[in-house]
Amino acid sequence: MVKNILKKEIKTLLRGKAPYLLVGLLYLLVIAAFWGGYTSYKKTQGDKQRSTQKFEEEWVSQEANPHSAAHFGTYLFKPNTALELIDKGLSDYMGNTYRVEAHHQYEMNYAAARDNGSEFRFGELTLAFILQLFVPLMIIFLGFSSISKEKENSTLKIIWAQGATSRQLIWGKLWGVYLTTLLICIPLFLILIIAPALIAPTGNVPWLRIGSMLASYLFFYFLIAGIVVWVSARMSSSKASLQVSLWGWVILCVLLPRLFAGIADSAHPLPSRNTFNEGIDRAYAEGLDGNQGRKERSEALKKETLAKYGKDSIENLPINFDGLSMQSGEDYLSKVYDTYAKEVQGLIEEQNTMLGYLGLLDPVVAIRQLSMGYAGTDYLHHSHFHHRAKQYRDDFIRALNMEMAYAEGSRELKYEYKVGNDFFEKMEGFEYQLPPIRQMYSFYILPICALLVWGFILFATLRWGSNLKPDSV
Amino acid sequence: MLQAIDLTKKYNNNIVLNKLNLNVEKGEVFCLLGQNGAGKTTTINLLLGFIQASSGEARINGESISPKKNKARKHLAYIPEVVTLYGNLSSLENLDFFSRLAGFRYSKAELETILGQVGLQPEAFHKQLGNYSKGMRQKVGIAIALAKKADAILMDEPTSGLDPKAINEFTSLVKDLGQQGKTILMASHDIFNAVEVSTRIGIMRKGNLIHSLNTMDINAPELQQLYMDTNKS
Repeated sequence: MVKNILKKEIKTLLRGKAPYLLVGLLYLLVIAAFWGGYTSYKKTQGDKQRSTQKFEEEWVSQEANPHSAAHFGTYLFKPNTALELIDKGLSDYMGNTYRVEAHHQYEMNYAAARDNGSEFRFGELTLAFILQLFVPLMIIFLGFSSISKEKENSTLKIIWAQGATSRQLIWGKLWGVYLTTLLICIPLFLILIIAPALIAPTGNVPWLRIGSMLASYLFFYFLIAGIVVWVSARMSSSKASLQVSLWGWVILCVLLPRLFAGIADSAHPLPSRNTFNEGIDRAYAEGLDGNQGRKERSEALKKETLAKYGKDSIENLPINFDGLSMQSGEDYLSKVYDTYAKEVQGLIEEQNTMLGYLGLLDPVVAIRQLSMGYAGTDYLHHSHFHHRAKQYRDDFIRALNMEMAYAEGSRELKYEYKVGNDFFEKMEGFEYQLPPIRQMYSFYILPICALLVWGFILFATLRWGSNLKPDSV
Repeated sequence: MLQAIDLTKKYNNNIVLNKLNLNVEKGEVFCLLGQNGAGKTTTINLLLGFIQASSGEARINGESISPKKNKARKHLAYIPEVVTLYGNLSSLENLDFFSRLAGFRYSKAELETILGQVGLQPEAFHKQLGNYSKGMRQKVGIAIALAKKADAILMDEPTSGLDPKAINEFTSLVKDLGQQGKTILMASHDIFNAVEVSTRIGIMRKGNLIHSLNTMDINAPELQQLYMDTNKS
């Protein structure tokens, strides 16, 4: 019965004008979004590769004092993920460059949104925009009259008289609208699968992420189709059904995601970058607990080192004490930074948790979080890269400070001591791998649950609340 | 046999059908006449099991009909006032779809035979229903009822909006159905057509069946007078 209804639904939908108008518009948007996304991806990828190569060349070709080299530093670039082509998430807003320099712990910088123009002011057309906003709208146009029209045309009564139940009708309509949507969206889904696979490094195609993203969107569309068909079943006219569905779209897709982001931000406000940096500077100068300032720490290190070597003055040490002292400062700065960053990270995680719970009220919020999570363009991946970059930075500066402290000749030459190409070449380069997807799943357990809860509510509604009221027909 | 036994429908305290007792035998064409709000459509909705009776019972061939008992509907077919069906499907496709819903799978030739039985021309079989006249769509509605092999066909003002030629063809089709042994209950405003097509006529007013007459016993002008008097009092 359901199969007959869905087959008829697909046939009648495909014979209407709406799917072809929607297909035309969809393909136009997909082409524009894909082209824009691909050129932007190639540009940033190219920029990063060229800059990385330039900084590496400059780094190995220098002949410099290790500490001067530490000040010269380098830059680390967050690699573009293959799925960034589909969902850029927060990557344009959170920065993609990490500065490595002695005495400074930097945040990520150079966010594209800060450097670009109108596309960011007016909203960029991305494949994620189409997947999250346009496709649901398309489902509304395909399904708003699915059942209300049967009421208006009195075919509902004939269907009932033929022996079909309301539940069978609703399920048939739901599958019909859903499968028609999938049919229309095949090119979009092919891009979602093929494009990241083509641009990912050979042998490193994120199939699990691609598959998970596709499965999540397919489930999300099933929910939307279910909601639209259910609204159509409840409304007495197609006009009312369209109005309610469109209002639902505005509320779920446009208003609530922004409202929830605002609520999460207000509930767990982040300190400004200035306040954050001032806190770090103060804690570094006065000590984390306020009892051991920079001078006291320096004195303590001096005493400890002299005791270790059994000497009475720094001049008599067999090493360059400046190197040790600078590393001690770096260690403390790193500790201070981690302490403050942990607080901020805690706040961001609170915000994410809150958004996860709010996703229970809006599946669009949940799919947005998941989508950028799969794409590796969310806060989790940003934070993961930043953490790895900082680790690398700390090891990098440590290696230079240790060279300053223990290298033969450094004690005598102090800042005149220089190292060349053979030293810098030996320093390890920065390699970055995305975290395993299971980490993402555990971070996004709430949005996953939110989608499942919506699925359960939909099934329960269709199971126990699908009796259409003939009185109103 | 189609039966209503003390069939009553109330919405809150408003009685829209009051203890209706009715038997429509096999081969009978029973026409319910009455003004808007007389309870004709409610009667049809109750007899089709679309709505739950407040009290009393509807039966078809002795089987109880209610929204919860879908099984009895296999004996029933329905033709609404406006048979729109699916405008972008052909009559063959419409008939095939509704037959499948009723659990029948016909070959194309069988479907064409059924459409032929109701007087549709073969060249129309493959045309989309959106291009059909109301009369032609009404014929497809009857074809759907025929294809279901239902014992009883319930029609809600089926001649409303049809041109005289279409009414004439429809009347002839309904008579044929009666002669084939189908039980037919039809709600109508059309007194003259009721006399022409039916074997019995009921006049309803404010949820009550006021008169039940054999068509043999009354002619159209007499029926019209009775109808006017009933609605005047």
